[in-house]
Amino acid sequence: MATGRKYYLVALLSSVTCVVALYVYVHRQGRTTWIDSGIISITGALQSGVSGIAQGVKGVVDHYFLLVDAKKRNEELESEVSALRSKVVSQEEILLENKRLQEQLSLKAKEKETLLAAKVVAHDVSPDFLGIRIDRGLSHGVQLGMGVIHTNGVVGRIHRVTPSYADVITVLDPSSNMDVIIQRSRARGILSGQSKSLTGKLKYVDRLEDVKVDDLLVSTDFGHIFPKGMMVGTVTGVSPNSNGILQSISVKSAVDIYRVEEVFLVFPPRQSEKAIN
Amino acid sequence: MPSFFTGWDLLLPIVIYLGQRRAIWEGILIVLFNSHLYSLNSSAPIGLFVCYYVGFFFFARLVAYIVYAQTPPSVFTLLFLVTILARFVLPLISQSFDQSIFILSWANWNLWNLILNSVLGFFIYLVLGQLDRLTLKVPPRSITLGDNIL
Repeated sequence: MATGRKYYLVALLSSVTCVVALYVYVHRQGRTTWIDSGIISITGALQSGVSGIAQGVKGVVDHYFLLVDAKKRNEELESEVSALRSKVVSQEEILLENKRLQEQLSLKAKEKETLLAAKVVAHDVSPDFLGIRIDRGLSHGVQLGMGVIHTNGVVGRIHRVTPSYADVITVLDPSSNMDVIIQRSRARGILSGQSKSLTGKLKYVDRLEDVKVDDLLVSTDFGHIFPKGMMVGTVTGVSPNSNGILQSISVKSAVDIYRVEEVFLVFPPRQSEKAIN
Repeated sequence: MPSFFTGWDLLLPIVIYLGQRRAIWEGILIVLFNSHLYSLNSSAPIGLFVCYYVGFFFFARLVAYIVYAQTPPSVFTLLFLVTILARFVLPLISQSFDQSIFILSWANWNLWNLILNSVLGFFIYLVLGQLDRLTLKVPPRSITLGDNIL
């Protein structure tokens, strides 16, 4: 009886191991089956509904109950807007000058990316990973690896797509790696996410490179995933690495992943027409 | 956002309960389905959470041969120890999926999260126990131990 039970346990363990191995193999590199798509459609619709209700309640609370400091805040914002207006005017001037000079040098105008707005319907269920789900999918032209941005900066990349929804790996997720440059010194590095801490790590930066706290990190146009020069984050700490070759740099993301509600999908220049259609 | 809203793992106590109280074939099917559902709602590579939760299911099963958590202190102790163990196991499994979750990161050792997960897990365990009694999955009262709490 005991031997029979032992065989039963061994057979069960072997079967489970085989099933799990096969399952991991089938799903490698973000592939999804029709069953997964069906499940994601159901959970996505549920999450979308819950998210809508939560947004409605939040809207009521924000617009009717939390207006105590609204006047003071409004005055602050008005002064900020006027300061920013003057900045925009001077930058427009630079832009026009840049365009004029490019024309004189006969440089070809760079093709522009197209953006598609999407709503965040859910955040990652695991506290160790930092993904988000958006309400755009294959039917809207979304593809694996596409860039996702916010008005404050870069959010992440698409890593799973179903007909109606897509999952995004944010720049702070442990599995995210992104090519970035420091705006001031033009030093290049790879930004990797770290679990839970809501900060990233800038890797492979030579110790001789000029990096300071509060330096801005911006995106590059490698692979046309993100618009060039898009804000990614800010350097919060710099220290020499123990091996003496590289620097250890911690980075704070430009976008607060837990507060983001709307994002934009970046369609590369070639796919822009398809997205518009 | 405060860690209070982000550090919950609601599936772990359910998996431990199934490992302790249900037959293997019944528990494994529920755990496989739920962990797959969990994976589909996370940015983690598919398979990571399946390995993680199936591993904990068998761990709870093995523990059941030694300690059958039935009284509130034993349930709470088991869940607290499992919560601590989970902080080691997830980073270790994630290494085999090319993920960089650091075991020694301070963020992983937030005491508040450990206590919160243990307390929350304890209540989930209690609710599941009551649910099993209501559906007559187990006898309403334990004959051998008298008037039991769970």
